[in-house]
Amino acid sequence: MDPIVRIREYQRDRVNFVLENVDLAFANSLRRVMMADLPTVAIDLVEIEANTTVLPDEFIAHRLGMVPLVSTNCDGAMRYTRDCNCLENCAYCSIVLSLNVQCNDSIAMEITSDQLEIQPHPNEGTEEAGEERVRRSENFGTPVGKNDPDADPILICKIRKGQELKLRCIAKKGIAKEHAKWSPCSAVAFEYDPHNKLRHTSYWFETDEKAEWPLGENAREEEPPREDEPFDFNAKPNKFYFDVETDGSLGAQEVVMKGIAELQKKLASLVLALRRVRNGENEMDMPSGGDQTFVDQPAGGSGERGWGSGAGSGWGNPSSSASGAGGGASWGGGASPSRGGGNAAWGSSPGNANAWSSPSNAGWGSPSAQANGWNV
Amino acid sequence: MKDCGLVPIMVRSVRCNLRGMSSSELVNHHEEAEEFGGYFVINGNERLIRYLILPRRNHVISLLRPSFANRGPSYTQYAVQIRCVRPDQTSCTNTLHYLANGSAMFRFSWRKQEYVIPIMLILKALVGASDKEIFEGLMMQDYDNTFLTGRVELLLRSYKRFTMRTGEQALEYLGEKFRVVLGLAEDMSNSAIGALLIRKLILVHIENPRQKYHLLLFMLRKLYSLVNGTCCADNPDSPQHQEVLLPGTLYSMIIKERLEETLNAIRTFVNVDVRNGATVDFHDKRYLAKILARVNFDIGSKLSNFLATGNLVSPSGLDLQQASGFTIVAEKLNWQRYISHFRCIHRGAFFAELKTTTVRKLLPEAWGFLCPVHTPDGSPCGLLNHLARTCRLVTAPLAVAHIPALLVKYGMSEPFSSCIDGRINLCVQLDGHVIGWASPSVAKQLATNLRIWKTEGKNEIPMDLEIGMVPPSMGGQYPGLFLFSSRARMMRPVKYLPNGRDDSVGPFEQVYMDIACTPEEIEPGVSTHVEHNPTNFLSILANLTPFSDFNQSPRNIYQCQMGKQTMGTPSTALKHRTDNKLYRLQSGQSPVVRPALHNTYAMDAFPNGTNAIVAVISYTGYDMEDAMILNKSAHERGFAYGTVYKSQIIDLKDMKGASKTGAPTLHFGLGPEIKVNSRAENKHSCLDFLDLDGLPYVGTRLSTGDPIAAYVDDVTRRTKFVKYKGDEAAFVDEVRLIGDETGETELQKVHITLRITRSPVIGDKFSSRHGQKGVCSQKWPAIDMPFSESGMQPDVIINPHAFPSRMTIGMLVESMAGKAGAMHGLAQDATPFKFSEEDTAVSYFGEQLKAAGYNYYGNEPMYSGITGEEFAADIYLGVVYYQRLRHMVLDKFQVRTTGPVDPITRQPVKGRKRAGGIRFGEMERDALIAHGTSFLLQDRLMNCSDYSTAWVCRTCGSLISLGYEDISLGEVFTGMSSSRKPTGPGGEYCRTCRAAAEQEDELERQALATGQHLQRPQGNIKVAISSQNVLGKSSKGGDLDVIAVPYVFRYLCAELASMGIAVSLEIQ
Amino acid sequence: MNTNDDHLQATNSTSAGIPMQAPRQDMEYLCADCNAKNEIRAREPIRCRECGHRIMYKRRTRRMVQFEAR
Repeated sequence: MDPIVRIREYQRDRVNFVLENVDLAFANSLRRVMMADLPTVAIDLVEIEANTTVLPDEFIAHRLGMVPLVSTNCDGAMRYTRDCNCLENCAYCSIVLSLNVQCNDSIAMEITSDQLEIQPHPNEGTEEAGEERVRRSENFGTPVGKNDPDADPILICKIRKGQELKLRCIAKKGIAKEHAKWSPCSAVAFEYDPHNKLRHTSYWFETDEKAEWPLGENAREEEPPREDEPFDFNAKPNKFYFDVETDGSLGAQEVVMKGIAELQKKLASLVLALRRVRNGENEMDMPSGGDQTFVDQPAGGSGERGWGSGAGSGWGNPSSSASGAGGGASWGGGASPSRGGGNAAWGSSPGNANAWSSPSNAGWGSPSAQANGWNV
Repeated sequence: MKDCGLVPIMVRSVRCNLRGMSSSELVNHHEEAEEFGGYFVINGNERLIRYLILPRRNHVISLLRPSFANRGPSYTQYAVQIRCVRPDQTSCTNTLHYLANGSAMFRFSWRKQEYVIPIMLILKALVGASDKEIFEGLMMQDYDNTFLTGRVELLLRSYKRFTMRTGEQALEYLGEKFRVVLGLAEDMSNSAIGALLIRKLILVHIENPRQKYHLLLFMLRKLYSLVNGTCCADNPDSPQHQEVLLPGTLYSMIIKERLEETLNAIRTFVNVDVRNGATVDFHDKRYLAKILARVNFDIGSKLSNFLATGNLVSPSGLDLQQASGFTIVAEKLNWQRYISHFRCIHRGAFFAELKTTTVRKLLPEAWGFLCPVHTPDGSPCGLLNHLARTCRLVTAPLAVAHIPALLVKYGMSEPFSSCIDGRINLCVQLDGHVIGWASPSVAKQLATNLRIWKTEGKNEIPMDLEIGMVPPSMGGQYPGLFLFSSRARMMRPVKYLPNGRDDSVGPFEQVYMDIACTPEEIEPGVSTHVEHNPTNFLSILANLTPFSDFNQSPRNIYQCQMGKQTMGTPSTALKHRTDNKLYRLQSGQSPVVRPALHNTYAMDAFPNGTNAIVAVISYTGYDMEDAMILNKSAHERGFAYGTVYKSQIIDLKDMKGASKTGAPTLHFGLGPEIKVNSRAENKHSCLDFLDLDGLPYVGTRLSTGDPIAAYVDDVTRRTKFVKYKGDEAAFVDEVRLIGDETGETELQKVHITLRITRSPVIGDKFSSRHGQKGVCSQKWPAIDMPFSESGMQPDVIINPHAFPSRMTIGMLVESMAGKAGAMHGLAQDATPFKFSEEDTAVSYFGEQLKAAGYNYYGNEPMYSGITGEEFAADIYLGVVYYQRLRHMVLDKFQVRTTGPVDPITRQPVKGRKRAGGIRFGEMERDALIAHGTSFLLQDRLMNCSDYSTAWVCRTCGSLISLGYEDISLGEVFTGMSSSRKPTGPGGEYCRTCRAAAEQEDELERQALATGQHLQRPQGNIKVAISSQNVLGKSSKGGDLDVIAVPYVFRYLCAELASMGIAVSLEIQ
Repeated sequence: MNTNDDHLQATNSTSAGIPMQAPRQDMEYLCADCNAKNEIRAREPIRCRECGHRIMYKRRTRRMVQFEAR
């Protein structure tokens, strides 16, 4: 059975859908990815020039960091600062916003996110043209709800006569694993088995279970269990009810779509890595020179290394021990981090090897490198 | 004219500049909008005089103290005591001791010295009463009472030895005995001194000797009744017999005494002049000026000193039991702590040392006056109490002069009528004056009348009159109708049932009243009063605990303590405050669940915590043992984000090189050697932090060692820097330039406020409002947190084991109420005693939850964030208000690998500030021994402590007799025994043993010289041989060994040697 | 400005006996009581020209201070 997605309700900032015929693990992974792995733009550095408000500088900086910025198509439209080859904060990896408010009235005035203005980058156009800029939408990086008469702006601070706040913000791309401000989701509702047919949980009740546990909306989607229905202990959760609510930085659709894509990328890099391990074994079967013996990638995760080495030695590969300087010698070679021959034996692109070798990339990936490998 | 200095003025008192200002005016003066004053500002600290419990004034209490029997021969444990207060609020305590021979001794103290006088002497001296008069006055027609007749007879007989008949004789006798003690003018007659003694020290609340006499007779009757067993001893620890030392009273007493002291000093100087024969001319202004110049008039500084230290310097002791601890700092840690200072009331420092716990007991008499919940635990428990919310102190005198006449009109007999039957009449007293007698039924009627009059405002009976009707009982409290109109009494409002009016009730009368807690509890025919509110007996803080009636009582006590340790909002005028340390919660919220009084006291102006989504679940194990897991995303979004403000004062006067007199030699600023305008690369590093005036830029970030100020020394012409010493990064929040008092000299003193950010870290302490505290043990990633079906994730996870033994059901109810309130947009009322068995809180909030689509009891099915699987049990999830406590790891952590050592013992020093270690003490040592972990034991006590190696002499076993020979190749062994100097491999030798060996050699040589030729043949060899290779006798003094010993042991050996004790080690 | 400085240097050197560096410029402070701007040169008494108050606040720096928004 193929997976089914049925959208029950769709609004600009929320989508309610039912995901069917997938594993629990997959559904939860999607939830996790949507919450923590989608890149968005958020203010990361605040350069305060003047602050005579009642709030301390770092607190205002923190509040500004929380302001959601429009980040449509962020993964393509912007670079991570760490991946960018600029010295600091170029137009490709940062967006500059400024805020300059003074109060001259005798009544208290509100500083809101609407007063954050995007500043053109100082050295715009002088650098080489990058594809990222093209992919940006018109309002990329502006605070969510700005120029929208229906949306209330986000209050940052209140000031009274004579007070001012002048600052410059540098927004960067990031993901919520690093800081919550980069999360596009405010909440992801997730439910399965509203009638508890699978008996994963047990409803505690004082007198009457039915009276004390009101059924949720999602219970209407499924047949209530009959009184005489036998317990199917082999049943697995199959239908998942999602409600994704975003903070506006990404649209609801984009969150789900990008979430699936991100999950795909992650799985792809895993599959690829596994394939490489298998390929490595195959190569070892061939009688070949010392430089083609199995070379353990030094920077790989320890788990993988244990597996690889276990495969090499435990399965008692006779050719490997016969060839070259023998098993001991080839293992010794493996300990050296700069063995060039390893890559040749693996027969994969350097980019992939890179992705495999660095644990952080294996986890959350450099998109371009991994996208290439997605052909399984 | 003579200047007496500047007396500290209480903030917002009549003399204060802020008196009568409105909130907006206060804000314009950089004050708190709700500033209520009541404290003094001394050296920049806000100090206040703490309330102190004193014995109730002008009321005779009977005491039964075994220690009284030790006062002298024939003294017994029985006594009656009265603390008399003069109109100027100074007091004098008089005690009447019962003696085994039936008579009584009158005790008073004068200048901290105690004196006793036979009571008969005073009775005679007061009014010159005849024996018959005294007999009748004491007997009051009760001639059948053989006990009484016996005692009175003994009493009268005991006076016979004085052989004085008239009152005048008694006065003269007293005056003669006390002439020296009282130190009065020499030309006063004995009888005048006697009269003065009686006026100044005996029953001082009464002017009239006749009335004093009446009260003394009453005291004697009460004393005999106590001895007889017809009445019981009063409990001085009960609020019934207590009142409060008001700060104003104490302050005026001190001022008065200081003035008196000054005047006495003038008199002394004049006396000295008179005695020395110098010219004393009071008409000569120059003479007066000379005398005045010699006297210290600085009363203001003495009062400042009193307020700053709380120490009372007084020759008389002011009839108080303590001499220190009168003032406290009103700490502005948070608003709750601040306001509770103004309601706290101390039993007295004397009682803190008492081993018995009786004084600490919570007595039923305290109901409604002292809060049963709000007291610290530990040493001040029960001694430091807080006034109940509605308890009020009477501060104004009442107009009661017309009451005796009024009562006489309604059936009271006059006090001086001689034929009153003491058996059937009760004494009527007003503020310790005997104003008449009445039968019990009449007295009861009088009491009822007075109560109706005062509640209805008739006959000008003041509301705060306390009507203590003590009915006759078998061996109970001594009966009578006692009226109190004095100041310093505690009073509280209740409703009087017969007319439905407000009544004011004091602790003396409350004991004999039937006050229903709620209207439902009124028992017809029994209850006379009803509480306005069942929560009135709680203090302000105890009232702020939501649903406190659901909690086990100690938990409410803990919350009262923790509410005061919370990092909250100390003040709204933070910018203008200069406290040494202030804690501030940046993201404070108003609680969803709050008692009604939260609004009454406007606590929302000073938020004290954050509403947190709390799941009660055992998840990951990081919530064991009261730890709590914080949601990392919640933390990143600013949950419980706090700031600490610290102050640093830089005073150039205290710096090295400052001139003590004359023009200052140190100046804030940068010296000429610091090039200000030079380019970036060779700029002085201090310019990153300091402005041209030598002060830090406001807003700069400082880390340890960065310069915080610069000053130039005129002498050396160099710039010196003051460094920031804290461990954490700080921001310069405010720089205040403080000019001196004249405004003439240049800047010498700056005050810098530093702001240190403290977002929560692992190890910080949090608590709910139900005494449930815990430390943050982990910041858990949001995606791994459990979540509910609606996608809700808890901010805080606590362990279910926190509940069964502590029984803080209030927290569970708050959780439900908070959840329902958040869903429906309600501020939930959490006032205690609002629900009953029929109308339960659970059903009330359960219905609300059900209406919001949740489970009735607040449970929710939750899913593991890691696997997405539903938990086998549903989870209690709700909204609880969490407080962040000020105890933070950053202030407390102590860690050390190596570091400073003590110079004497070479063991690690102690103390967090000095990077010291934590003591591994005896009991810890015992534990390691018990475990048999000897290697660990050696590691802790030796290797990681004061490991050292030492040479020890194998011959004599001494550690301290080491000497060194400056050789490297070993001794040149000439073969001559006299020049043989055996040493160890490095030239070390034992000085004791070598000296002994040399002496032995000397003896041997002398033996040879005297003709005994036993000389061995000598080889003519000259070879350098290390003495360790030489066998036999040559090892004398050179046979040393290296051993590992704790360095303190060597020190011990040296110390013992200094006392002539040799320590000898045996080396194997 | 320059003349002023020179003048001050002269007075200082005479009064203290040793030549001293002239204060480089006046600093602007805010009175803690009336919030009036006061230009006070180094080694001048701390006193508000408007109200005579003797406590001054230093103004916040106009230099940029950088913060991480987290």
